[in-house]
Amino acid sequence: MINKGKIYPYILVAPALIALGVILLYPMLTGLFLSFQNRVLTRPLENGWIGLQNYINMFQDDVFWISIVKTFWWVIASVGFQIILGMATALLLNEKFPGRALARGLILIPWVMPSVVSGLMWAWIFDGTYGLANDVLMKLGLIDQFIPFLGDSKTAFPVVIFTNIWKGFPFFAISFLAGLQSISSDLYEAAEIDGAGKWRRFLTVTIPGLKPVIITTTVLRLIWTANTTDLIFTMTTGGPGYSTHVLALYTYLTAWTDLDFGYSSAMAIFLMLVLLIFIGIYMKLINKDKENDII
Amino acid sequence: MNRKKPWYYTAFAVSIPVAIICIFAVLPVAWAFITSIKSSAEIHVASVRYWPQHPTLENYVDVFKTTDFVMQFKNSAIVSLSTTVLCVILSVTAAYAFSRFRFRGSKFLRKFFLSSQMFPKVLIIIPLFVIMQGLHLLNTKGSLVLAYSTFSLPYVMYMLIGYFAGIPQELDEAATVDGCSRTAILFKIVLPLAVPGIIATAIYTFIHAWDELMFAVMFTSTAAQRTLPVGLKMYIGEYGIEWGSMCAASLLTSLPVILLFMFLQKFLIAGMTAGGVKG
Repeated sequence: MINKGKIYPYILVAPALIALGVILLYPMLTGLFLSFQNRVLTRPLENGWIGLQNYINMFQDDVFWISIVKTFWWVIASVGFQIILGMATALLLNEKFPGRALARGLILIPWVMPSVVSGLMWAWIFDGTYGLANDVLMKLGLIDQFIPFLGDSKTAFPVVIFTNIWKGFPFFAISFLAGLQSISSDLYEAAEIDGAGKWRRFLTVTIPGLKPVIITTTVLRLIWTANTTDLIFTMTTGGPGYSTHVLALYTYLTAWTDLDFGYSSAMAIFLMLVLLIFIGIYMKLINKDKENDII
Repeated sequence: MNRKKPWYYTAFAVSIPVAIICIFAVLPVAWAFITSIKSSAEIHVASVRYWPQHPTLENYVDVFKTTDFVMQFKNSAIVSLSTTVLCVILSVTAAYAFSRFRFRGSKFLRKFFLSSQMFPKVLIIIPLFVIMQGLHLLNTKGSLVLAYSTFSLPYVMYMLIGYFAGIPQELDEAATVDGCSRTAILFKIVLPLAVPGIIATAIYTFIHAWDELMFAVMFTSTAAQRTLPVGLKMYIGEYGIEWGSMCAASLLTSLPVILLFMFLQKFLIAGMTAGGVKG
């Protein structure tokens, strides 16, 4: 009876654990092994262990370094603006005004739309021949000829980041809004009695109250954005040139188009190692957050 | 904070900025809709028309008649529904264990589950492709269902643990006194009370499976197995871009998730904010 009792929770956890083991852990280990092998699907005869050669090639690969720089800007610009816009939206939605429920629903639309659809819709707006963006900019007199936004290596990256900001800001808005609603209004009243103005109340009450939410959502979003490839894949597939070529996409394309699984795995492992630092930070924060919680 | 603010404050400092953000959020969808009801001739005019002179449904007819949309829709529906069912079943029992029992290794396992949701997808896709190839599962819906269920699993479980933990343990104890087994408690007490949470996690899983592109591109190679996102992405390459039908197909693709979202918004927002955080 006691034995059965002890085993019971393990039986409950087992199916999930087996699934994760087979679909996540085992492939990860396989990926690690692949990264030390020459494995190009089109040249099966050359398969074999090559030690660190993939990693050495990686550090000598110019495109890899371009991708690192692109990844950095992709993550920083996307998440940075998402936070700012998300915060503004949350503060506004925290006020009372007619139509608030409707506004909250509409603002979540970017979050709900499938990524491919989001990419295509914005690609159409930024189209170089019949696009709405060109038309409006032209009518406002800001440009004197149409710009092929996604076909120009100067504008493609900002446009893709812009689309990602659109897609991601609702997540921050809703998370921050939930955080705002949990800050006691007594704190605001106390600050007001002490003579704190609106801006001061924001800095001394709102920001400290939201700090845990801000930090955890940001770290999580950084990790996610670094891993995200579908928007860029849909809109530009990394081009023109290497102007939107982030590392996660480079890894993917190396496997998908070049069929070079060994080299691709080496880059994926590198990405994983960098992200592990952030995952570590996140886990620490979560644990601190939930110390007294059941979870 | 109960002082009433004058109406003009609300109008200028709140309503107008909110309206601008809402327009920004909805703009591409609205523009896709307007484009979708334009004829090809009206799309390809030098000066953009903000509303068609002769609204038409010909793009929608085109999508159904000339593309694989219906088949892809069916594929997406099968994959997403199966994923949702499998993922919820797998996570319900695990979440029940974590929220109700303290057992050796539970802390470590929970941490492992939680961190696994952050592993880079590209790191898994490549070896999983090799593994699926070995199992002869490539180019099947099953390979996608397995991959999606597992990928959503950690977060869904994490959300459910939160919901289950919110159900008072006293109820369990009372049921035990009445002679309920622990499995019966899960089905008779915890699950019925956790219905909102389960709905939220189910929608979340469905939306993600419906949305997924990168696995689907890699794992499916024939038209018969393609899901909607792959279909849309391929559509660009195959025919050049016919924006009218592209917009129509995009909107039709989004329709299920938008409807789900509209009807179940409350559950979803509660789920996003209650159980932890994830994009």
